[in-house]
Amino acid sequence: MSYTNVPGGTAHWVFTDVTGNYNNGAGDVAITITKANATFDVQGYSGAYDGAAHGATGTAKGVLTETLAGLDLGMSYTNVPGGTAHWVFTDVTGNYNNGAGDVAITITKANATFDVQGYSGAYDGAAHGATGTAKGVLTETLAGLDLGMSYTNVPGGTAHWVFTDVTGNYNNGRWGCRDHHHQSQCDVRCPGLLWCV
Amino acid sequence: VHYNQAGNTAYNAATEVTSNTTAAKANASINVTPYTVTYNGSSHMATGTATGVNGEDLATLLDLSGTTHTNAGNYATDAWTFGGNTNYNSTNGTVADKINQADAVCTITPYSAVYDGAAHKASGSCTGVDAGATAAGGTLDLGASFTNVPGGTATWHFTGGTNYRDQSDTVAITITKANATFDVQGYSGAYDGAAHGATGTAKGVLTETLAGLDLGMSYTNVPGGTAHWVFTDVTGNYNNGAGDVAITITKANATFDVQGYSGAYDGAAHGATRHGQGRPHRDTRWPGSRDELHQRPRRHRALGLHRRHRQLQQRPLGMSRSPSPRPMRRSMSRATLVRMTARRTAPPARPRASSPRHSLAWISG
Repeated sequence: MSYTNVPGGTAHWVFTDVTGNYNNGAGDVAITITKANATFDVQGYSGAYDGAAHGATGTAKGVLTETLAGLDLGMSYTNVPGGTAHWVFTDVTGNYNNGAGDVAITITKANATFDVQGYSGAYDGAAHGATGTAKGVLTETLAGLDLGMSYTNVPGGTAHWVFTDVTGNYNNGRWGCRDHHHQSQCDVRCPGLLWCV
Repeated sequence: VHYNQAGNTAYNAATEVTSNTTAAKANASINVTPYTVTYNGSSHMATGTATGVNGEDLATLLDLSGTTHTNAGNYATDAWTFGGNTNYNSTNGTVADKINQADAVCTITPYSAVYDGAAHKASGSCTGVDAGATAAGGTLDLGASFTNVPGGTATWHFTGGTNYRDQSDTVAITITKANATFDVQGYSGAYDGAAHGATGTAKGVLTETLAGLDLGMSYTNVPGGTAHWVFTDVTGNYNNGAGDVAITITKANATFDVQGYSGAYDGAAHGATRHGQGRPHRDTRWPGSRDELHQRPRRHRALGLHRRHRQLQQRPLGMSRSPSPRPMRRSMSRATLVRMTARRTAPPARPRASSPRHSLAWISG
């Protein structure tokens, strides 16, 4: 017999002489098949926060490049900063060694989307400030948006809004331009908006 | 002459009267008889008589001793003498006596026997009338000797000498063929790939080795057979012969070099690999059978041997190796060829970690 799978077995060989000149013979030999190492292609994740859970991705493949079941890719992470996915391969065929490993799930902070409007109107005795929202990647409204000062009297002023993320998943933001060295260009590029990326 | 007369009852004796008378001697009557006899070993003498005028026997005065003979011969003038006396005259004479030669009795025995390598002649003897039944003075020549088949005819001669007549005749010396001695052995042994036949010799009566022994057929394979040996004599002195001996070839034990397998799972079926080896033949130099090679394309490919693998796969069944266009390759062992090919085509390639080391052992077996 031939054996394909672990652990093999005993091959009972038989010699049947066809020449007529030899005695027949037989015997046993061991066919020992040990477990192979599967080939693992497990990738971590690295990306900005998007509100979704991210975990390791990958496959375990066998010696014939067949995809092997039994690969647990470990934990998924949604929030910054992610974590370590400890993947475990538990062979279900009996032909492969088990395996395990760690990959990094790196989730970086996303930029929130700010819609902050100034105010322009005739004096009405009331205080007017900026209005707007900070929304996340799932268009959820984010807390932590401080719209800055309000103005009652003419001529008003500049409201410096500041976004201070409280979720940990977003970059903070403020009025201005990230590129401090090209603030003038930023003003040009983003007319009407106090936030410019 | 004195005359006297005796008296009787009536007369007196007369007075003696003397008278002078003169008388001459008379001749006796002599008769000598010669003899003619056959030699008998005894002496012979003529016989004769001498008789006086008054018929008296005068034999004592006859001497015949001169006619005495023993041996054969023709005695034409044997002398006799008569001595005479006062009244008779002496005289002599001769007679012709003859003693004929006797016939010896020759008993000659022909020879008839089986060839024995020696010379043979007739045997026999001639006996006569002499003392001890001998033919004294005679000689017997038994004639020619013969050694080989069929023998021949010997002419014997008896030379009788004085007293016996010569004789001669022929006698057969018959030599018949002998049986050679055969020591022909069969064979009994396990199959070894060689031809085996009968062995042996044909020997003659002098233990000489004889030509002409055909030992018959040889056999190589089990179960052997019968070797019919035939002896055809070339000397003429031996009977032909034939016989049968058994050439028994029993099955040999093949030498098995069956290897198991030990290696990591590679998705392929693995079984025992065989290096079955009986009598040496090419397969032993190409231990990898074609069905094994079918199981190993991946390994061969990994070793850079795929081309060779395909060649071996395309090799017809029963063909241990395809003819190589390069004589040097042909003389290489397969292991060498594989190693060289691997070295040339895949210098950095090594068997994968999961490849069992004994896969190389399989190649180089």
